[in-house]
This record gives sequence, C-alpha cells and structure tokens, in this order.
Amino acid sequence: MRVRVIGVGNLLMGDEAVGVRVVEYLLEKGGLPEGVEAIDGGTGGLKLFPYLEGADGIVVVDAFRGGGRPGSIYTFDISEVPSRTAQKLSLHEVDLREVFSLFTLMKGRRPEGRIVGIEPGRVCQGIGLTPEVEASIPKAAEVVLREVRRCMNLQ
Amino acid sequence: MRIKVGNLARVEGEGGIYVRVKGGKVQEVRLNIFEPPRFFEAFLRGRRFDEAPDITARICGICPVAYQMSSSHAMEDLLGVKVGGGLRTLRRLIYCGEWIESHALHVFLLHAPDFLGYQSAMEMAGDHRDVVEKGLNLKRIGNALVALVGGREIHPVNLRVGGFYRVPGKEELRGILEDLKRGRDLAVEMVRWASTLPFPDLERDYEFVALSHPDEYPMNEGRIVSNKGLDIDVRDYDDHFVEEQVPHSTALHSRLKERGHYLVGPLARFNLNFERLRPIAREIAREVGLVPPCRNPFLSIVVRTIEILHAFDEAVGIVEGYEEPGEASIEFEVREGTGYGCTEAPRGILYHRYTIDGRGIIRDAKIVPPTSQNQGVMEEDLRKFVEMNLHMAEEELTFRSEQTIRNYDPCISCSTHLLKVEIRRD
Repeated sequence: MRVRVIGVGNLLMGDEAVGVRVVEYLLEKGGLPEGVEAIDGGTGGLKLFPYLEGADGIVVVDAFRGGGRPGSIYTFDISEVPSRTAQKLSLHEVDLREVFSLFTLMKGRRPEGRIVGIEPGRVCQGIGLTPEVEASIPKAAEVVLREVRRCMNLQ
Repeated sequence: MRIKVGNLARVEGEGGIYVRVKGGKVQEVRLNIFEPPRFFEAFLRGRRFDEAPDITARICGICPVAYQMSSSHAMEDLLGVKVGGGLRTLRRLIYCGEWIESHALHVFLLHAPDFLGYQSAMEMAGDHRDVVEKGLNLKRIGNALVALVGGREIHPVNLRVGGFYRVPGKEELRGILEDLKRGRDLAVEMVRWASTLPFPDLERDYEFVALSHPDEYPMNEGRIVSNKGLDIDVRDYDDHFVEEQVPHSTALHSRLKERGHYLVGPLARFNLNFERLRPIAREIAREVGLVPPCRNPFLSIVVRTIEILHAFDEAVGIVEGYEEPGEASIEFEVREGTGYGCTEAPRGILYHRYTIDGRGIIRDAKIVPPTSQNQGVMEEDLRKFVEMNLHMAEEELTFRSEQTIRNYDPCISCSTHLLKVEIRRD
C-alpha cells in the first residue's frame, strides 16, 4: 500500500507555488506516516506520470480557484476532475488533467486519490506567497495528512 | 477565411495562432505565445549568482537541465572556471537524459497523433497503444537518467556553478546501463517507424543556427554557426542577434542582424552537425534516407528520434567508461564581470548572459530561449503552408496549421492553462 503526496505549481508565479510550499513544509515538519513520500512536482506535467504509476493512492496539493478568499482550502476526489484530452499547440500546456486522463487510458482505471486545493491570491511573475496564502500552509498540511490517512484506510 | 486557434488575449498560458486569408492570398499570420523567461530576467536582479541555476530551472518543467546548464556555463565564463574531465562528461550525461525525455514526449504524445490522423495522444492510444507505450518507456529511462545524475527527475537539484553537489558512484551509474541499452534498441525501432509517417510537403530555405564543436554533437559547448556563414564565439551573440517586440505577442522575436529570421533546434543541429552524430545514429539516419540538407520542418519528428538514438548511445558510452571524478565541483572565487553561456536545449540554443558585482549579486540578466528565436520561422512556415494548401477544407487546414506549430512544440508558460479552439469563417 503506497500513498504519495505530490505538490505542484510554479515557484516563479507567486501563489501558484503554494502546493510545492505545502510539501516543503510537510517534509520539514515531519508527521507523514511511514512509507508515505512527499514530492515537489513543480511544473512536471507529464513527468508526473511515473509517480502516479508507482502509487496506490495519491494526494495532490495545488493552487485552485474555487471562488473563496485567498488561503481557503478545498478537498475533492480525483474522480471529480473532468478529463481533458484535446490536442494542444504545445506540451507546455499539459496539466494534471491530462496526466490523470493518460493514466486512466493506459492503466484501464482512474488514479485513486484526493486533491487538496488552496485558493491563490496573486498569480503572476514573482517569488513568494501573499500573506494570506502563506498563513494557510500549516492548515493545508494538516488537511493533507488527514487525506493521506483517509487514502490509507480506504485501501 | 480565418483560421483561429486559441485565444489571442494576453493571458498567461494561452497560446494562439491566427491566419487571415482574403482573395486566395494570406493577408496576415500571427502566432501569439506567452513567453515567461522575459519576465524572469527582472527578478533575477538582486539575487545571488549561484541561485541562477535553480531559479531559472523553474521557468520550464520540460527542460530544467537546459536552464541549469546555460546559467552555470555563463557564471563559469564570468568567474573563469573551467569544468572539464569527468564532470563535463557527467553534464553531457544528464543532458542526454533531458533530450530523451523531452523528445520522447514531443514525438509520441504531441506530434505523432498529427501524422496518424488523430486529434490527440489520448485518441491515438485507442488504436496505437504500443506507440504510446513505447514513447512512455523511452521517457521513463530518460527520467531515470536525469534522476540518477540530477538527484530527482522533476527540477533536478544536484547541478551547480562549478559542477555538482555530489557525483554518482561507478556502481550506481552501472545500474542504469541495461535500461539504456534497451532504450537504444527501442530508439532504432522508433527512427524506422517515424520515417514511415506521411509528411506534408514544405521545403524552406532556412538559416539553420546551432552550436558546433569539433569533437562532439553539440550540447554544452561550441561556437554558434549557421549554414549561411555565421561562425561566432558565444560571447559575441549580442553583436549578431537582436530581439524585437512585435505588437501581437508578449514574446520577443529574435533575428540575425545581417539576414533576419533563423531556425534553431533538432533540424538545425542535425544539418550542421551530422558528421558528429554517433555512428549508429548516422547509420540509421542514412538507412531511412534522412541526410542533410533536410529543409522540411515536418521531418523534425524523425530527426528527434535520431537524436534520441544518439543520446542513448552516447549515454551508454559514458556509463561504460565512467570513473568517479575526484571532486564534485571546481573551487572558485567570486569576482565581478559579465558572463555568457549558450547550450543546446532540446528545442534549440538557449542563451544566458549575466552581470554580477563583486559580492556575487546579479545586476543584469538576459535569457533568450529557443522559442523566441523560432518565432519568425514559425510564422513564415505557417504562411507558406497555408498558401500552398488553400484548397484544403477549413477543418483540415486548421488542423494542419496547428501541426505546423507543433513541429516546434513552442515553450509557452508552464503554469495554469486554458486553451480554447475556435474557427471562424467570414
């Protein structure tokens, strides 16, 4: 039974980095159950595919626009993410939705797991989070741990 | 008639192409690409010189090694550091890994569906599952190689100005040898497969620009040369190339001061450095009938598979002959100055220039990615292709226009994305 936490986002795009920052926080603070790996997925796009392959369950942490105040935390199931398979002009446009869709297609099953989304404030070029989003990290990390346990119990 | 793909608004992450045709003539061609590196130059200022490799590596999730290599070489040029011997070889090894990964994704998950008549890799996988599977296998080995030398696959952390933080042991590297050999065999098969695809007609008299090195297929070092007489030191880049703002795009367009637009990337490297490909790559290229000069941009898919083969074969050679270097990096002292670096990213030459002060703080930075250098030829390809194929139905022409751009897999923002597709007829 293998659960992986994957934080994604671009560190150079303000609050878009929050998923990666939550993973860094988790790695620093500790508290992940034994055998659970936490990965800085950056803007790995399709490079994330092998991380999905090698896991029974994943918890993805990412910036997510859900309409709430910056720093709001959302959780949902990967099965709730619509598939996205249309052709692109460039591989640089590939996001998690394609990775999930490709996984489903190649493996004959959907990836199992949860998404923890954090509402971003400012998403534009720059290093560093806005104060509200920065302040949400400990709470988001707790939610990630809760979701990890949930994944482990479900298996 | 108008061909419109994507949204032309200046919104991050949205790329688009726009072609306007009137009275059987192409009136206007626009390629709009949000290109992030330009914005990142500003916030490199004030950072320490040794942060540049890791900061710039975050610009692109697909080719982080290229950014680390160009920035490290620029800093080393500035500091008077020469990274040679085993460390230089290890840098080539990790670059092989990145070429394999990036080319495999481009060939099998982005480009192949165009040639086989599918709307996307997902759709293609239904009928050609083996092609997607083989592409993913090649990519997995590339990933593993990057992780082995770079510490991890995504945004490697083991590269630094002066070399590495740690070098892999001999036995550690040996562990990947069998996979590399398997990858090489698979790559031979994939060159043969790619060469049988149906290629649209388009021949263009490009000026090809690539690095050139007397002893090796270019990656990290060499002079910048072209098929039309350019032959310069990397330090003289700014004397020969200029960048211009165009009104319809946030990306700057590069051109050669003397002659205008030029092409960088696999096709340019192949045409200018064919004799320095590994023998097996040359042999298979000849077998499938692909030799310079190759001026059809659609054939770049075959050239990419040849470069994948080259990279596997070179990686096998490096791993077989590897002896662990005594030191992981070269010592140096910080000094002020300006340094220049140019390396061959999977999509073509990536130029970095930095000025730092005596405390090692970056005062000025310039980054010219392959995509801004290819902007001009991408638009010209599109214009020529549409002119030659006005008889096509609109849907087909739109699809083929996209394919023309996918020849390049332009670097758009690696960030949040929305791409709308819209076709309109006047």
